[in-house]
Amino acid sequence: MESKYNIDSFERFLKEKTDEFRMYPSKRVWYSIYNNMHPGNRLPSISMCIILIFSLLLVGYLNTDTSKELSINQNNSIILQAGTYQFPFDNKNQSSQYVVGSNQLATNEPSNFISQIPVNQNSPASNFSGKISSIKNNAAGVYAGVQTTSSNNRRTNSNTHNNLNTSNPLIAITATGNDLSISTIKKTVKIKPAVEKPINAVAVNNNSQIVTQEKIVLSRDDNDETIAIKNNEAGKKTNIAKNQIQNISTPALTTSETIVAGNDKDAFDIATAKTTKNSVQENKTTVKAGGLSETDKAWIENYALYNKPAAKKWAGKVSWQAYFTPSLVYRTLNNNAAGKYLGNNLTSINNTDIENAVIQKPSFGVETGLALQYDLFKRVKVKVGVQLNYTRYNTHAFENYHPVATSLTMNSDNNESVYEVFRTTPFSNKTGLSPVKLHNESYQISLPIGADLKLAAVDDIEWYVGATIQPTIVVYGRSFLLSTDRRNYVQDKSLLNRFNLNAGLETYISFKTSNYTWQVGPQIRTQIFSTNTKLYSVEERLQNYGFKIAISKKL
Amino acid sequence: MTEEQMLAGCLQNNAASQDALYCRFSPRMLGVCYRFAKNREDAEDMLQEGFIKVFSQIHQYRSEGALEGWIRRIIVHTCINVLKKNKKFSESVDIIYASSIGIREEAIPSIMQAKEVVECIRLLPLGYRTVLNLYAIEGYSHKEIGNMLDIEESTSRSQYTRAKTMLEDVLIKKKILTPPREKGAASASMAAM
Repeated sequence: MESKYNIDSFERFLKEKTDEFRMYPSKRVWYSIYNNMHPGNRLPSISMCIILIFSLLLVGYLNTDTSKELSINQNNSIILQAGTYQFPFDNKNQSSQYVVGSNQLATNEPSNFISQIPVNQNSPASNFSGKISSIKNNAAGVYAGVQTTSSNNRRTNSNTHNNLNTSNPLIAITATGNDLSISTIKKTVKIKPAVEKPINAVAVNNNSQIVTQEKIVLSRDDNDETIAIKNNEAGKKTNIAKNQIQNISTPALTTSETIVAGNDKDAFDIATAKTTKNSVQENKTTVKAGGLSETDKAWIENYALYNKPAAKKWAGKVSWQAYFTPSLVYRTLNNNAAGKYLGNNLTSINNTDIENAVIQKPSFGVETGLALQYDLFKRVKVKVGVQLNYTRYNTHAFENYHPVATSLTMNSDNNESVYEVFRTTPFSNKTGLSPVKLHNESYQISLPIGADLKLAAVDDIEWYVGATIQPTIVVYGRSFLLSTDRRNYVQDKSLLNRFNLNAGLETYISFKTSNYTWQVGPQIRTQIFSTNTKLYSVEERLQNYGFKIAISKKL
Repeated sequence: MTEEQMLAGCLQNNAASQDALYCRFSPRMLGVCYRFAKNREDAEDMLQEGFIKVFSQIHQYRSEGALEGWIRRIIVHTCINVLKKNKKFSESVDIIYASSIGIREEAIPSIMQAKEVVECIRLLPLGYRTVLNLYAIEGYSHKEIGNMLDIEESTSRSQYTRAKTMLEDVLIKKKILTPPREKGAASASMAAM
């Protein structure tokens, strides 16, 4: 074919352009290469991960345990740990720095701190003070401050309004009389620097108990700033009166973005959402601060365009399931002696109704397993798993001191004739020395494969029917075989079927909780092939009637 | 770190040297893998496998040619081996007449011309693309390509010819090349690039 261009120039053009092309691999590639080349020093190592996790947990615990910083003693006074605290709600004429000694509250200007009357929520900031003990007695009051240093003399600058370091925890104490609920503080304060991080607060009641640990979120705009207290304690997060909240925003927002809490929204949800948003914004800022080159940006844009993350087809469709099914185990017997009898005396005996010839009672069984489920269609799930079965039923018999000789009727390989094999056994069917209960039992491992069909659903409750087929290996079994004359039982493990096939049928109700889906319902499992091999002329099949309890979760 | 130092360190399985060598060559090598691969993830897998081979076989490097060329050959062979494991590739590389391709006008942004050219190459059917990559860009002969891909030499030639024609059409359509009637202008355009 004739080329439109000079071959050399075209290929040179291609080579030049492609040689200019660079792509930067993800770190995963290098980690994989490193781990492959240095298997002894896997990166990142498990131990490093464990140390990191524990470090994070420790830091988180230490940061949330404010009881070390503030507690209530028996004399109804608040004890602050030694350190210097700033109280941004004091007015400008007062010192905003309070030095706290060990186990007592003190200030460098004690009179300013103590002489003020406890304030209500709409009081100006300058009134925002009071004697600690009187807070409880007067049933209302709020204190807030920032612990700026851990010693008494490190910080001496008292100009709160220009030097508020809100990266340190702000301590707020709230008491609202006998009512333990947390008040929302709406207060105009003059804090010029932007508050960057959430701060902690502790609420106390008249009984001098710490009610809860609080998180205070400061918001700021050009005209005023607000404080909201968010209750972190589990189960009590609605303590904030929504109608008292006007503005909430996360502190790290650099803009004056605020959220107005309407009556239809929970203040906590708003605060949480904003905090999350703020975290995302912080991350974005970090990325931008990383100094990506224009080439990198272009590559990222291009990569994103061409390599949109393929939605995992199985995402949200695969779930694991663990289940447990106690059951009652029944059996059916069938005389399957085929062909002509080789012996002269077998015919009449084998015609005996085998069910009436034995006394056998059901017993308990159990199955337990793990499965993976895949939502194939909207109403259909397929599943596969591994399962352990235990089955047992009992035979009422008699045991003799001395074994007796008996025989078992066997089918020939081609099923055209039967023959007898002779055994000795101490167990007799009808009469004997002492009654005994023989346990016919088996331990099985099976691989259930099946499907579930959703029949109906109401909210989070769904009704399913399901079926499985279960290739099964009999790991251990004990079977007592009925003799040819039906008078004795013979234990012969060599005739056990090591491989079998079970079929399961179930219906269940499924209901969802917060994280898991529970399933309960009846189940029938039946054995397709006989417990013993085809050689033995009596076919035995087990039926399990159980009640399945399962728990599952999406992966 | 100089190339000699990197080599010496890699010969001793030194992680820092391996890291340095990887950092130096991986961007270009990933570009190579990307031209062969179905997507970026596959390309990274190829790169990973290729560099493991590089580090494992670094003692076979004889300083006779450029280190980059040696690494590149290993990477290309790794790509081909990975592709050959895919049954579809084996089928596609034997098909001389591939169906025409739908050019995704909107899918090629004008960010970088090199990137555009690579993306245009990636629009070609897998068999065409592989032969074109190997012949036009990597510099293998059709005989070598035939051996690498287990195809006839003539098949390689045919594949390349059709791949080239198809790529020209794509490049013209994307206005990276000018149409043949403006051959002089096209040559000038290419020369300018």
